Amino acid sequence: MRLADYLRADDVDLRRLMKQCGVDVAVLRLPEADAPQPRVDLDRLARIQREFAADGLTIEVIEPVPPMERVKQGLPGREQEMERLHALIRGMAELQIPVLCYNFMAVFGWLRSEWQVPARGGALVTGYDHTRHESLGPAPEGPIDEQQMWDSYAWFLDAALPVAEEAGVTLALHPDDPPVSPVRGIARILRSPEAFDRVLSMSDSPRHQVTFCQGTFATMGADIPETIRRFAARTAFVHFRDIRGTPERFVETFHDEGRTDMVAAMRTWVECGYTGPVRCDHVPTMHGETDDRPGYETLGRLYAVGYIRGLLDSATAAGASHSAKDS
Amino acid sequence: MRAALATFYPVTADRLRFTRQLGLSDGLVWGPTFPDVERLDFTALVALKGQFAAEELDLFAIETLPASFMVEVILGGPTRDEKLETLRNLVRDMGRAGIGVFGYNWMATGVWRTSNSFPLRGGAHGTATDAALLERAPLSFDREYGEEEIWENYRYFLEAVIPVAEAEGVRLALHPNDAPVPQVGGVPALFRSRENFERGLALVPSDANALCLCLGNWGAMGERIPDVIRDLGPRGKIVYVHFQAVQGSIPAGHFNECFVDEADNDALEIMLALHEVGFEGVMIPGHVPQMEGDDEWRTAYSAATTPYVHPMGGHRARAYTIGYLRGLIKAVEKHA
Repeated sequence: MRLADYLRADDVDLRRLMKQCGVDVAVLRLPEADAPQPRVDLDRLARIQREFAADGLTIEVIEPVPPMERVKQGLPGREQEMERLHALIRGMAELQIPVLCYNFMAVFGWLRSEWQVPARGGALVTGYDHTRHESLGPAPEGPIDEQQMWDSYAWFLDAALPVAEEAGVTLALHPDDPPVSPVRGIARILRSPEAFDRVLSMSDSPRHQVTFCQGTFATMGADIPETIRRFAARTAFVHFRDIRGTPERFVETFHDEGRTDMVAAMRTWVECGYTGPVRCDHVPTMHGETDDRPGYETLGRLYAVGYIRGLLDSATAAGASHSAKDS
Repeated sequence: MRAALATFYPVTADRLRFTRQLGLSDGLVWGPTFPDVERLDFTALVALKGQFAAEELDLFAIETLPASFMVEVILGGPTRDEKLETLRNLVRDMGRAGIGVFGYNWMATGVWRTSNSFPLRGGAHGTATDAALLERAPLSFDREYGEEEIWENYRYFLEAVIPVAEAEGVRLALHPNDAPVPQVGGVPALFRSRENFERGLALVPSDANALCLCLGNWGAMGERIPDVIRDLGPRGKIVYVHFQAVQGSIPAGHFNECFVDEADNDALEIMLALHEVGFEGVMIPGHVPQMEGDDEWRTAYSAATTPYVHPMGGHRARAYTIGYLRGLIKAVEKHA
């Protein structure tokens, strides 16, 4: 497992901080300005890659994909969105960026109903209360049922995977966060380990993999070590975080105080031989921070990267001594 | 085992809240900025303890009095007995106020470094010490002091303070000389080797005569730290730990401070050894590297008054370091 962090092209400060923490792998968030563009600006992407390289960081993942609401909702115009995705995949191949992290949440993406829940010492975390969110009423885009979502997903995979295979770029699917359905009339299908069994059974391609968001699997109530063992061989990217609560009502936590045995989780990743990137994902906002980007401020991220590195160094050493005993 | 953070006096709520946010339950007070040690009486100490309690923290220790106060005791100056009386009162009042650990050092002139800008990973910076260069420092005082003279002053100090510490349930925790060179500025640096620590512990044998194990200095002495822990730990001599990280050593001619995860002495091996010997104290990172865009850990008051000139990192480097230590502790305690 190799430490990575989620970086914007323009955040030089954070890029250097992460390098100082011993992070060598970057997960790039595409420039927002590119989002509404009909095509992905590959020259710009190459330039960003060179800038990151100059700071000693290798971009191994792009997350998330440019908007593809028409693809997700099965609407006319989805072919154009898919063409843009194809161009991105081919561009990634050209630049040797191996993993594309995507999700298949329609209308609402990463969703929270509370953005400033007090945590220990007055730190701030995000939370979700399904009842509260549902009280906003049905979304105008809906209703969309589960069958429609599965049909849209099948269309997506048929259209995207052959290009990914040809390009040698891995598509890594993130679970639905929160893993509840429907959300204001919009079905969510990727909310259980079984759903991922179904997704992976749709193709055996090594380019068809999982972004194992541990926080979301924890929200599902899944047994984390068991679920890691179930999907490790087909995981291309890990989000390592935690929560307390249920899919309908939960809060995010510091990495050391959630529902999951993080030591066991890390040991399991190491035992399974997972060598891909891992990032800390959302973190609490801490003292003196503005909370302009809930989940993505700096001090909580530094703490989380340190914590994960501590777990990883221990698990790696334990794994090594375990193998030494075996041999 | 638990990590903790130290903050300069006077203590501000923001530093304590940050400490709590990092999941810590203990804090320490750094005393080089005490304006007047005499006025640190029972009432003041109870108030200090209460400041920590208000943020759900325990005040584990007070450490490091101003060098300007200790210098008389260390060198045996004319006001030594007054200073020792103040120390006895301080230790007594700490015990009464429920602050059970007094961290101190035997450095007449504080910490010595020869660089504050040693390049570290990713363009961060740490402090460094060149042994040969330190040897060239001019006299700090009017004359050169002899090794046995300073030992005699140390014995005098222990005999004055240890009985009060024993009576009041306070443990004295001796920090190494930083840097652990034979002498600097004409003053012998007694606590620079294992033998000398043993000699200090044997001068006045007592449960109250114990150590603050600063891993940075023990590393700089060229010691294998897990061995040191396995020796001192079972004897109950490690009251708490300064979880400092260094590369190189004084015997090798040069050392530099570095990130907690890249020291010559592996942090995980150290943590395993501490767990093995049943260590129950706290571990604090004192100084940490200077990271990109980091701020001052010192408050405005302490920055204006501290005699320390070497940089000690800010909130960012502390967040990373505490995260790493807590990750190791969790893993070691859960599955050792």
